[in-house]
Amino acid sequence: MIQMRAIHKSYWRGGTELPVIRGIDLDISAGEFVAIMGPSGSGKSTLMNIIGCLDLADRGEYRLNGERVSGAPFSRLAELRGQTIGFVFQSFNLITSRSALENVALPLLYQGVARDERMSLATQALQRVGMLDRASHQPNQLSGGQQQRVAIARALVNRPGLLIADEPTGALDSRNGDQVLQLFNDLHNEGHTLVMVTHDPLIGERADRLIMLHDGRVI
Amino acid sequence: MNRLRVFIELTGEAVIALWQNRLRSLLSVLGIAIGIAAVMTVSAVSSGGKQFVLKELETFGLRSLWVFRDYKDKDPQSRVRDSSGIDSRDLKLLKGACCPAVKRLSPVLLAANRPIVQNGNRYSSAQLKGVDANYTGINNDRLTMGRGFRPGDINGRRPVALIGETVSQDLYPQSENPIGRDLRIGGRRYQVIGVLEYKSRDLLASIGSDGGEDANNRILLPYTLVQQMNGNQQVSYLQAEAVSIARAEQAADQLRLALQRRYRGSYQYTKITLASYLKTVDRILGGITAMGVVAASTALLVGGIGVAGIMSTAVVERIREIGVRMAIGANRRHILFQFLAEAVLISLAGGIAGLLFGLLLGGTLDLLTGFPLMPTLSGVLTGLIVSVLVGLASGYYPARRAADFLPVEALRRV
Repeated sequence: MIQMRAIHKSYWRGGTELPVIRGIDLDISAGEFVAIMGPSGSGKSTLMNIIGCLDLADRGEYRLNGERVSGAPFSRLAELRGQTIGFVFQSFNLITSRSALENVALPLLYQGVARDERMSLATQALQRVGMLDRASHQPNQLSGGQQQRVAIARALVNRPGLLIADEPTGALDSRNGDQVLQLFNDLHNEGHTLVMVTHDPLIGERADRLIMLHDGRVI
Repeated sequence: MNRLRVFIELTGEAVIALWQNRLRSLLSVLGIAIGIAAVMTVSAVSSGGKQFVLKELETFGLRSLWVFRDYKDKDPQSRVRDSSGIDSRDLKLLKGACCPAVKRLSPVLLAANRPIVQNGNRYSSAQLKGVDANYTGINNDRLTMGRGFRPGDINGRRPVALIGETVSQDLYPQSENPIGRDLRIGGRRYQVIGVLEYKSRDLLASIGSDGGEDANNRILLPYTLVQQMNGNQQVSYLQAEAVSIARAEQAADQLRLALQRRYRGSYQYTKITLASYLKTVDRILGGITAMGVVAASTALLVGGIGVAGIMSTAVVERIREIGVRMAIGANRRHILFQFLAEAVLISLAGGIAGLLFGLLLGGTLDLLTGFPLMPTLSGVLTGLIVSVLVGLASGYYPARRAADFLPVEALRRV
């Protein structure tokens, strides 16, 4: 599903180049659960952003489902994010002024799905993560674990092939974190491809494959 | 179809975002509203002012023109010096084929002396004018009672008179109908056959240009009688009506040249047309309006800058939301559209509020001053279109900024 060849990425701070990813080759097949680990500053979040089409590599080739992502126009990247990829963030990133249901339905708006269908798909997604009884709650009325489950429902609502999670349990206590991880496990068992950035070795053990990054390289 | 739906739904998102910041939105709406109201009021005042001036000029008849001798050409020969250069024998010629742009024509005679005008022991200071049966039509005079002159009154030198409102009040008690009553001019008896409708020339009088006369203090007599009074065949000047406003200058020139040919250049003639006054009025009002519009546009500009400021703030505040929307599938056009829609909605709401406010203000001024303030349909449409354009102009830069973020950059900001 994912093929990366010689991916490089640098940031520029005050005129000096800070290489973050220094030549990564990576293949992930459909249905895999891959954990990316490494100390902070190793480039794991940047790699994940590139995989998720939130950021672009400076050099190298990235193919998603065989399609060349590097060099694709911005509008195509937006389509990929909206149709093929579901994102889960460490800090949930729900829109605070909208209810859980509206947050989950929002990705469908950009796909031109009619309102009634949006609401019914969002309701299904909330049911899938066990949050249907909180559908009309605002994010600030929900616990961290509940917010993350709503965020996962939002990532699922477009039925993406690829789920990408950036430290999804990083902001949660262990009980809530376990629930969220269990949810990811179930999704993986249902056939979703899962790429998760974490620094928790216990989480890494649950994955099919562990990729260790150090200084922008796979070790 | 689906694409269109996305943009309709994004407009809804814009409405929700504005509603969530309603105080702030309201203040920006107010800024635009004041600007639009100012523009509206200026255009209403200028179109109302034009109506007002036109209404007064109409009391002369908008197609009216005057032809009279140019006394500056005075000749050493006394015969020529004293003459008005027009006499009643010329009228037949002038009413003929010489002057196709002239629709109708009346001689006007001013009495050489000021005879006493009285009814018993009531007196009038009215100005006497000798005219023919065409005059009231040309001069846009209407009668509140009685009848106008007929050719028979003129040719038969019948002692009949049309009197103005002021004359009627001066000579007859309020309760009395003046029609059929007598009045004496220089000892001679005349019968009142009609009363002329009141004419407002307040504005013209206030700027010192009411034509040197009080339109309501006139007595019109058959010109043949005034010639008799004056003891000669001369006509003071001609007042005529052109076939159209556009041909007024041409009509006046035709009369002028016909007279010059007839007298083989012994006299020079000059003309005045109301059409040329209309042009002057247009020019002056146009200048005033332009200045007003510039001033009002400044208010609108400030309102627009306010919207731009609010939108810039909104973009900074919601940058993370922008990142999230991009992460779940929004493309740059979607982001651009949503923020532009917010700016345009603010401006449009401001435009509508400003129009209503302007109407209210115009109506109030109208009631207070009696000055007609009429916003035109095109003025209203222009106001709405301008407010949409202000929204687009002030929203574009902030919206563009929002749309140009890479998703990862937007998500990284706090």
